[in-house]
Amino acid sequence: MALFLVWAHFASGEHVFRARVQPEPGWERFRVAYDVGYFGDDGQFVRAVQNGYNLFFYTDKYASRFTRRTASDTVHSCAGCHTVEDLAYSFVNSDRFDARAGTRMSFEDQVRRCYAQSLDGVVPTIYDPAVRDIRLLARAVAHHLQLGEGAVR
Amino acid sequence: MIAKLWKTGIALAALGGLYALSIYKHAERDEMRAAPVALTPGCADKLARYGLVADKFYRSPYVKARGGEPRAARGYSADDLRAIERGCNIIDDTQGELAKTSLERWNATRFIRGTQLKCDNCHQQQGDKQDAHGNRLKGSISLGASWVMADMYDRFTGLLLPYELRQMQCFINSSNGYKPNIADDLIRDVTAYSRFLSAALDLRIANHYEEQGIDEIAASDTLKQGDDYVRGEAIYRQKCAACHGPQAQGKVVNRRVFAPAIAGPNSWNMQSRNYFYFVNTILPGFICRNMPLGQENTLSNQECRDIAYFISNLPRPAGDKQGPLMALQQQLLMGVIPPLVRATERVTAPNGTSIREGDE
Repeated sequence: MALFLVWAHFASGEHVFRARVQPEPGWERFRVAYDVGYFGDDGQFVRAVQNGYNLFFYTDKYASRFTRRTASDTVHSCAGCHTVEDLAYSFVNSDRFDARAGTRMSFEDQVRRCYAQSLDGVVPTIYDPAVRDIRLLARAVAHHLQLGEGAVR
Repeated sequence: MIAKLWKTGIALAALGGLYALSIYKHAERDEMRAAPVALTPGCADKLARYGLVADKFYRSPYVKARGGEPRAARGYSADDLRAIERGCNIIDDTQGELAKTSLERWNATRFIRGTQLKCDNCHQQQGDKQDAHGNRLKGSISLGASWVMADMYDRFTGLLLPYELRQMQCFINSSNGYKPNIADDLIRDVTAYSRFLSAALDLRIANHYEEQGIDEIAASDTLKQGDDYVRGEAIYRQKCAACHGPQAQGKVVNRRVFAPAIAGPNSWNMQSRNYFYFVNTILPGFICRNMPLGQENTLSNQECRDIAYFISNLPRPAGDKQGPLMALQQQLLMGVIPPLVRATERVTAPNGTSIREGDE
């Protein structure tokens, strides 16, 4: 058991065994541009935002359970259709009645719809980090842009 | 063979009945979502002042009245409007005292064990407490400010806590009840209302505002005399007992809650953050900034801590984590202590001076 734990932590390469999120290309630039290091003042939040960044730009790698798209597809990540600022505006305009769906749509509902339809995958639960961390990414960007509820471009 | 057919028939009929019932309940909810909302007086006033109407854009009258230039935010559809109105009603009248049917509050009482507590007890003035000049008040647990600061790391649960989960915690602990589903209309409508408040007050995402949360009072913010039960009881009797009753069991007048129970079976449980032995800075902070009504900020930090200490030593329900033995012990104490204290007071109090009459 002890050997397994040592291997899991140091040698497995599995990010689930460590708190640190894998830094992907562009993260440092993004972090500086959107003041993510300043925001939140706690490691958990920043890690979640970083994971959100990874999910957003490298969806096929970090949410492979929820998408059938691979790197060979033209659109294989959220970033294929949206910018992070789209995400922030969508966040502050969520929880509204959607006439097309005939119901109120939360931000999480929209993310799950993207996984199922645009990313040709399956729907994560509302609590899954694959949904939660995208919301936190949107929140961090919305904070940087100083958006308020219902902000329009 | 016939018996087998009968059994199968009965099982199918039962399943069909359940299906029909769920169809009926869904239709009932759909009808309620589309029905006009009868606002409580507090909500009618608040939402009118904030200019809530269905329109393409929303511009906050609050910001304009305070000399600012309101930004044009996305407006609300008729469906959004009703969700916001229902959310406000739920905050203001969680127990449904002013509703024709419990469904108008999405049967919120399903999730609350007691008969007295409502959201507005803590989140006062429909979750948006202001003074006479419209200034938002420090430590008043504003729902709008809570919404913009949601998703932060919560040191009590160790989670990045979304707004919806925070509401669930309120139902479980502060209302000593049960957890609604995250997608329940109850939760969604309260979220819709809170988001509208943040638009009306022009709050920005993840900025810190003074009215957000509790202005916590630690022991180091006092004269460091220690938290004292006897002092707490004396101040409680002087400042709080007239409304909340001598044993903090609340006061009900004409079947309407005048002041809620802050101990006993109708109060929050031992897992709530209001419970002094769990978090000893929150209840004192709430008391100092929000109590007594109309005389806020008049008690000293030490007095608030003493009152909180006294209240938390009165029997109240155990939370889920305390286990069945503690739950049994608390149930026994809640049954035994109040009559015992009343009997003792009858013996010890001078003629006619006991203040029992407010107790339910």
